[in-house]
Amino acid sequence: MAFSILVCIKAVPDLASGGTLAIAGPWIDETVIGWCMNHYDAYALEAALAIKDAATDITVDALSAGPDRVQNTIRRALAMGADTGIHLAMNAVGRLAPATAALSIARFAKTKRYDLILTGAMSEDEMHGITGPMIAAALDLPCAAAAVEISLDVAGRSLTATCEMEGGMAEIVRLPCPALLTVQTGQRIPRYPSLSNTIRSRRQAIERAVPDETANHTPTVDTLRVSFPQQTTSCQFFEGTRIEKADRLLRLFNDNGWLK
Amino acid sequence: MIQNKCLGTVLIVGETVDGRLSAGSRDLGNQASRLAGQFNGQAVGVLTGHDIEQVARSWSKTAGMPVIVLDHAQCRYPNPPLTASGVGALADECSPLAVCFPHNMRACQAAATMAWRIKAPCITAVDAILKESDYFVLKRAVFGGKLRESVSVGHVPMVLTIMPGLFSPSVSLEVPDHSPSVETRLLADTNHRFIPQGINRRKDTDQALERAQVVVSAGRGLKGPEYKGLLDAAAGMFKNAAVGGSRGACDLGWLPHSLQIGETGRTVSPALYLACGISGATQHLAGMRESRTVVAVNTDPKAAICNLSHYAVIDDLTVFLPVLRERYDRMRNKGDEV
Ligand SMILES: Cc1cc2nc3c(=O)[nH]c(=O)nc-3n(C[C@H](O)[C@H](O)[C@H](O)COP(=O)(O)OP(=O)(O)OC[C@H]3O[C@@H](n4cnc5c(N)ncnc54)[C@H](O)[C@@H]3O)c2cc1C
Ligand SMILES: Nc1ncnc2c1ncn2[C@@H]1O[C@H](COP(=O)(O)O)[C@@H](O)[C@H]1O
Repeated sequence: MAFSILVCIKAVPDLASGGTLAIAGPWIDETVIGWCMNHYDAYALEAALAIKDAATDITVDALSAGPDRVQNTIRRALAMGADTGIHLAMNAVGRLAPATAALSIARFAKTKRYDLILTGAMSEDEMHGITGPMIAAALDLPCAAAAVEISLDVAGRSLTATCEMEGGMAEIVRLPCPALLTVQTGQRIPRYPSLSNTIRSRRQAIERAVPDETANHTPTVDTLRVSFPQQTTSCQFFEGTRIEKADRLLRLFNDNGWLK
Repeated sequence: MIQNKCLGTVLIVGETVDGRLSAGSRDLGNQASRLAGQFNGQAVGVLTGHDIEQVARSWSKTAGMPVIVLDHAQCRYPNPPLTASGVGALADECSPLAVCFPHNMRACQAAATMAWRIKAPCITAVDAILKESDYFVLKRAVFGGKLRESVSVGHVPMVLTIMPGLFSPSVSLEVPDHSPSVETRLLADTNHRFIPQGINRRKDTDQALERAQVVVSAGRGLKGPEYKGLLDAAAGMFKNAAVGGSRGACDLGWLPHSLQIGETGRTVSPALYLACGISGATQHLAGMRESRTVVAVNTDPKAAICNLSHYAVIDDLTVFLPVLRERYDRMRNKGDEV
């Protein structure tokens, strides 16, 4: 029985590879940074690919909404093993508000009748944690947040997910499909692209869809500005050579009686 | 129950976990009247759970606000779809100025779901609220705390999730001559598509981390599992130390998940917390904020952890920690003090 999965991936500024943030206007300077797949979304994609590996007749689509630059992230998803890459071209706007992204993704997904939609638990840049649940609300799908384990009953058209809560607790919930899960990092480390998939991903066309942005009455939230946080505490930075810094730290530890 | 229409209502939505108020909800309750005051409104509590009348009474009393209990057998643990529909119905009834949830993943889900239904703006992880002439400015951390974002909202109601400690606890000064009212509503049995099956609780086999005087903790700055020995060597300098880590380091398998510190991990409050290669995301801080002295070793002086630290060494930990250990050994061999 065929089963189709949509994974929503967001391109976020790549800070791990040494990029630094600069401010331009009310947001960051997007011209001086590279982009990568949101960490949480890589885990969501890995979860989908693991489901695909373990069964037959499962397709995994990876979708990103935004300007043309998100195509690199979509290619990365194809290289990891997604069957189809979809670019929801939204050039008109720089940053997409969660509700706007959710509405466009939901309208697209509706036409494809996915059995399961996965999003990341949160985007690393904007950190809302709400786009997934909003897509579910727009499509009236059952939804569970922060899944760390997913087990799918393809024949029974349902899934069981272990969803993390605070303080080391997790709840096991069952949802009938179609459903949406937001995926939390953890269980499976996202795979590296295989050589054959990388080659395939370079040749494969990315499906382009232009969302209908009319009748978009989602309430607006405007970003006024971003700023670097004030150094609020009196953090003392140790100066000097490496040895001097080590010795000063040891003196601090020793004076407090912590050392053996 | 919600009489004071002219003042406007601010719904303060708390949750219970197996019959107990969650930590985030206790904190939100403590801030309720200050929060409502900020919106020029009056706080009305909403508490979800099952058989929680007593908890609701005491929450209502400490927070000094009336409380409506939304009761359902499937709300024994926070249940976002039921919460969203229950609170959404209340919002339709009383047209609140704002609906405030504690900030956690489930509450974010409930907030997003109900905001979508009532067509309200939803802003999460709010840690400051200011009033401008005809709109509100809400502040929140973005990029893992590297930047702060200010957003403006002119639309009511707005749906928010609130970081703990936004305001210092607001204790109402007047002693109320009667306790605020508590009313229970049974939620309709409409949601059958989010079906709770059971709860897993992590069993911490030992309490070494919680009992340690010194916690040596590592994040993704550790670079790889081959450097884990550096942590053990550093911990070995102290009388009573244990090794822990960020979720970043645990997810990568460099440290076992049982050693994860933070919101979804363990909570420690040692005399010394040595944070090596940890950026200081709020979810990590949630598990170590109460440490008495925090020392950061990080290549980035702008890392958020430095804002919380008392001392910081800006260096590559894989180079610095061996030097630290070497200087310690030398000091011990010489028998002199540094
Ligand atoms: C619902 C939810 C719950 C979460 N719960 C938790 C939790 O319980 N605990 C937790 O920790 N996180 C938790 N997180 C994740 C959290 O948001 C961060 O992603 C995580 O804490 C980052 O880990 P990190 O600091 O190790 O990695 P990064 O953020 O990648 O930081 C690495 C740091 O190391 C520094 N660095 C790099 N190289 C070196 C070097 N050679 N020497 C020294 N420094 C170096 C960098 O400057 C940077 O500051 C949660 C997230 C969500 C959404
Ligand atoms: N522009 C986008 N394109 C595709 N997916 C997105 C986009 N924005 C957000 N998402 C998804 O929504 C999740 C949560 O994002 P957020 O609500 O911003 O924290 C992300 O992890 C992605 O899976």
